Amino acid sequence: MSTRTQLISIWLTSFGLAVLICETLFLRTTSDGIPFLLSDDRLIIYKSLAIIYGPNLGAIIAAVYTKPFSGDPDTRLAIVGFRVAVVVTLFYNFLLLYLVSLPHWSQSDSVEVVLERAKTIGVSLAFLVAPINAYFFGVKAKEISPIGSANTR
Amino acid sequence: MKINLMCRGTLNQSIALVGFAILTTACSNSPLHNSTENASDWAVIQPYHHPIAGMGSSTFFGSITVPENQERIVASRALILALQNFMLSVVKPKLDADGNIPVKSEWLSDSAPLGLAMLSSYNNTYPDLKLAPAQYQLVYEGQYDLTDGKFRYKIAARLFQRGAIGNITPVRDDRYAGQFFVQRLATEISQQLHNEAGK
Repeated sequence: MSTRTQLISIWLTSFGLAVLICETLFLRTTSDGIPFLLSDDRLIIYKSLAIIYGPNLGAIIAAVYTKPFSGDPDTRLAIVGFRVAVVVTLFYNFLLLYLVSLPHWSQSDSVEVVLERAKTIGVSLAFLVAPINAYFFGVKAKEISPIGSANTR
Repeated sequence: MKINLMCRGTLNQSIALVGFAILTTACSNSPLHNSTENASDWAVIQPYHHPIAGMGSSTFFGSITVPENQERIVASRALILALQNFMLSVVKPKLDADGNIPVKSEWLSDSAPLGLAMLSSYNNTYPDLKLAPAQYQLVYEGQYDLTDGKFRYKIAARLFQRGAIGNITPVRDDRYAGQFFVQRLATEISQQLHNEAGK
């Protein structure tokens, strides 16, 4: 599996889980039988998710069609960089999923406030994943084998 | 009685809700904002008369006795007290120096949550227009007039809904019977008019 495939899998899985987490809020009710969310709330939820995930996923998908940067990445850097990339991307996406899932555990804030907070934190920490995305999706890709050797694709 | 009904319903949400109501009121072309003087426009019509020496208050059947030049105060107080009994206050227009709502000006209340008891009472009364489980908030608006020896009140009710952690949104007017809520306030105003006049 190429580096890109693995990274994009993390992103798409995280996005899919975020959608799932938000959609399950529509199935939950309070002890009084009041639903957590009404169907009108989908607009604000999907708008927020688009802002949280849109820039990263958009850039990744765009990189499939165009390579903004030229040049071969350094092989050693690619191997080390890929490991760092996976760790950082996983951390970033787990953090987003945690923030998005907060309404399941506590109903003290409205879902709009929670997603707004997730959006702000996501944008603030984007510096963690933006260079990684630019490197692995914006230049000629390398395939990393499980034992650590790299081949230019 | 045909009653005009319009449906559009934490602190920030209340402000947003009232703001929304003000905005939609400004844009609305509902009968409330028309100048038609049709009796059917009024949710409350209560005749009144001034005290006449030697005649008791029961002289005019159905009419209440109001001291001369006190009509405006009685009408405004009845409205304000009726709204207060529903945990509501007037946010528009600004009350005058005496704390009264100016005659013929359009008034708007803030929002108050609809209790579970009221909700179940509504659902029992209108099973065909049952309100789905949600948190509901009610905003009233209207106008009052004193011409022709009658206290007259136009009332419109706007219902808003939200999930436990969702955003507040207006309930579509074809999804509930606003007459139920208008009639509640109309009855309360009538009661307050009698109380005020009896003082």
